[in-house]
Amino acid sequence: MNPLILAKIISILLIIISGFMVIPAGIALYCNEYRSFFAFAETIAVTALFSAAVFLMLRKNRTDAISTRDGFLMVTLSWVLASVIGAMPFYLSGSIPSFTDAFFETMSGFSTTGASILADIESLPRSMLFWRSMTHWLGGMGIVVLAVAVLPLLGIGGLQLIQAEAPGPTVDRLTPRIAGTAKLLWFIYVGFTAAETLLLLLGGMDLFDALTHTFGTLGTGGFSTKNASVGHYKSAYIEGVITLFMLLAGINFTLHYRLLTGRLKPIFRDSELKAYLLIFSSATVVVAFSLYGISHQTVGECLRYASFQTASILTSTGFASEDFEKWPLLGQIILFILMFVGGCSGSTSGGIKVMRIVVLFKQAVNEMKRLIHPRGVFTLKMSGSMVKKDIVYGVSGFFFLYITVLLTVTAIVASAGHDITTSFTAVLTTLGGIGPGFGKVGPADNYSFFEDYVKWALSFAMLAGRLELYTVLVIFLPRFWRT
Amino acid sequence: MRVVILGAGVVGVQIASQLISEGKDVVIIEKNPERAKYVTGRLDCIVVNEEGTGISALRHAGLDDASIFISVTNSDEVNMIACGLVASEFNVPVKIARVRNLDYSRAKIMEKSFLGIDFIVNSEVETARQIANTIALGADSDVMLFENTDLQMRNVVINLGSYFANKTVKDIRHAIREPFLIAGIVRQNEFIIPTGDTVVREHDNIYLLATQKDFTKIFIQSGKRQETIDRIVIVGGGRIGELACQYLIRTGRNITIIETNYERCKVLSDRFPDALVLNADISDETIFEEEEIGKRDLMVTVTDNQELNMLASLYAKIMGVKRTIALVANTGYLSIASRLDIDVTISPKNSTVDAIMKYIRRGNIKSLHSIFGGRAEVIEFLANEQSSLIGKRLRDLRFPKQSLILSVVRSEKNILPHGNLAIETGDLIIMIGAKESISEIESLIQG
Repeated sequence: MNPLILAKIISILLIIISGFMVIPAGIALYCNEYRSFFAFAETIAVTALFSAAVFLMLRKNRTDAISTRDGFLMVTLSWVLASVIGAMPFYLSGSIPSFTDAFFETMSGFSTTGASILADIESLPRSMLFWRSMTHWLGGMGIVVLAVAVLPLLGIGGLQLIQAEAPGPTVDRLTPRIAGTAKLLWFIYVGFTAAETLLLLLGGMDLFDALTHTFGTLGTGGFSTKNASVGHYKSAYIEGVITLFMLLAGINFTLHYRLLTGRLKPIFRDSELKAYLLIFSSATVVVAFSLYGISHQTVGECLRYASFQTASILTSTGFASEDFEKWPLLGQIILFILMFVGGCSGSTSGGIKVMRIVVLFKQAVNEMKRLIHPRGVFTLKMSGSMVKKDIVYGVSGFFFLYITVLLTVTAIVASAGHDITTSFTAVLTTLGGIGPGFGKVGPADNYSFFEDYVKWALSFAMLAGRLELYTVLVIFLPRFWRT
Repeated sequence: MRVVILGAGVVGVQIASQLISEGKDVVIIEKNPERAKYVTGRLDCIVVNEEGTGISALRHAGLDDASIFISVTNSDEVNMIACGLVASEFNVPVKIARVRNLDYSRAKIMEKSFLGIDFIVNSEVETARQIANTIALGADSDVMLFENTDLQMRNVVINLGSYFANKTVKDIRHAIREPFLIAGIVRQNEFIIPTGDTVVREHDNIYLLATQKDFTKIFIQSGKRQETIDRIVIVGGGRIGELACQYLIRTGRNITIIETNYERCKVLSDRFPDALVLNADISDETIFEEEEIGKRDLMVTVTDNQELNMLASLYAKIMGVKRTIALVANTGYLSIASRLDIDVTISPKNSTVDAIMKYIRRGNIKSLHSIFGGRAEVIEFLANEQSSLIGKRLRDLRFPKQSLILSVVRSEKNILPHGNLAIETGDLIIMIGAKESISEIESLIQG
């Protein structure tokens, strides 16, 4: 454990974050929102000055000797601190008067959950709404990945950090240098952002709405600037564009890179992608079937709402084009099941991830085969190659931890007297980074009625879910602190 | 003509003994003194007891005026390096290397000359192909295929009470309507080329020549039933087993592989997700019950242990497996195996020797199979314009006594040979000959 190195890297990250805050500060100035502007200016000034001072004091310390252990602590700490800094403008400007609420909202943003404590979103200043959506965009690809991409000083330690932050059991290196990989990932991400913004502008959105909704889509976050979420626009075109980009954001970015470089073979062979598309299309069909003749009358309309909501929940985005709590129960239960799945590994989505579900499923099938052929030898294959045993163990451990955290936090929420549906789905959607749940936390509701301690517990679930449990939970092991 | 062979293993010795019997000068290089001494006592050739990768040893073996260099040691690397050395130091027209590792064989080194090697033989590949071919043809006997005709040669062991037993060759041919020939008979370690009056006895191993379609009819008439082969057990997951599985699984058959090494099982189950891989020992009889091995159509035993292969095949037959194929490496066992209730025996050494001999004699000769442990050979050759055989009638040809023309293939039609048949340009001739007569036949063909 080397606190000086940690302090140095975290100071760099905070400088980057306060740098991004300049954009909403500019918007505040442009829109004459002076209270917001001062809140942003104060935060930027304090953070940047303090971080710069720490960085200058420690600039002689080498940063390339980060151990795996340091990596876990560093990533967790920087996400917590980023949320604290990110919450300051909301709190200082009085847009969100309670610090607990401001922290919850920001953590929900960075962890790309999209669960909100705001009852009337549209009443917030535009600069605040922009910052709120921007946290999604930053958190989606990951602030540490961004730091590694921008700053070459992390050296070898970069891989450990990215592994601690990136979703999925393994990290693929696209280039020999990890900084190159991080740069490529951000380059693709920015490219998608530009494409979606343009398409949304063509659909009649203004630049502000197009950008904020793009941030919400690509980070698979789900914050909208409208109370009725994407349903506000009542446009099949906008829903279609957002569905497409939600699905793209839920695919492993390594595959996007392969697609851009014209190597199609690994894409067609990818087991996870196939399973992901299969889950999406079959869930859409079932949901559309449940809607037909009940809440919608034409096949086209059923498919429109079903595909949007299925993509939104599966990729853990959490946008809503309709209040799905008013849908028939068959459709609702499908969405509920999808909340356990999530997108692909290496994407910006949350949840357990399709990769892990497929590995566990194949492992279960192999166990059954072994019962029939006691001496049979079976291998678990993903995308045509063998999955190593330790990955299977890691995935099983993850699944168990996921369920344990889910149940434990549910118990904490329920202890405040909330019903089981509300408690369970509130945790399920925050842990999975989705946003809307069922019961009192449905797509038309918000999280403001929860007690403060419940909000902190849910904030913890969001952080743990975004950093894929291990990174956060390992810090609570006593042996983590032993030298 | 001088031939230098590096490595006096079974393959080296067998090639040497065939070449010697054809009147060629053979020099063998062998580093193991015991083995060198043993070979000196058995073969009429020079044995140089030195390391094969030394230039002095190669010169010593007389490579300066040799025309063929064959490297068949156990090591791929030695074989390739030796050929490379020979290519750069000496002027030998033909250099042959045995390379067992698949990674070498799959590469394009056959097309672009690699290390000066003219021909690469991979015994595992040859053997596995032979297994796959045999299975494709019903696995009820050893099968030899020819290049440009659908004629094939199979051996049938005459059991007690067989249709063929105690009849003369003439009678058998009258009784069965389909055109076929009895090309040779193996009787108590003796190879006989039959005439019409030869009597087929019980326990004889007879070699029949006919087309695939006619074989089915012949087997039906002679009371040997043909069965479909769908569920196959491969015992031994070594390279041959793996290759055989690779060929067979493409045909959509249901494959089970039994292998004792767990790591190897992992590799196989990774390569063949559709096959069932069992980590078990075939000599443990509980596996037969556990996996209902007895209900399979065929068992192919290709472990490194040839005695185990034979025993497992016999046991499988008792347990109800319809057919068995056993890999028998030791040529001395081939005659034993052919008398046991094993349907087909396959020898990797024989397939390697066949491949090498065929390459050495390339030219007019299209294919060449040595049968019965190299005591006889079946040759398929083309009569081209320069051939002295053109226009001559068969009765005028002076082929050696221990040989027989089996078939003449003319414009894709098989003609059963008779004395008045004259050979034309483009005829494909299939004939059988005892080992001693091969060089005489060869000079007739080439001259």
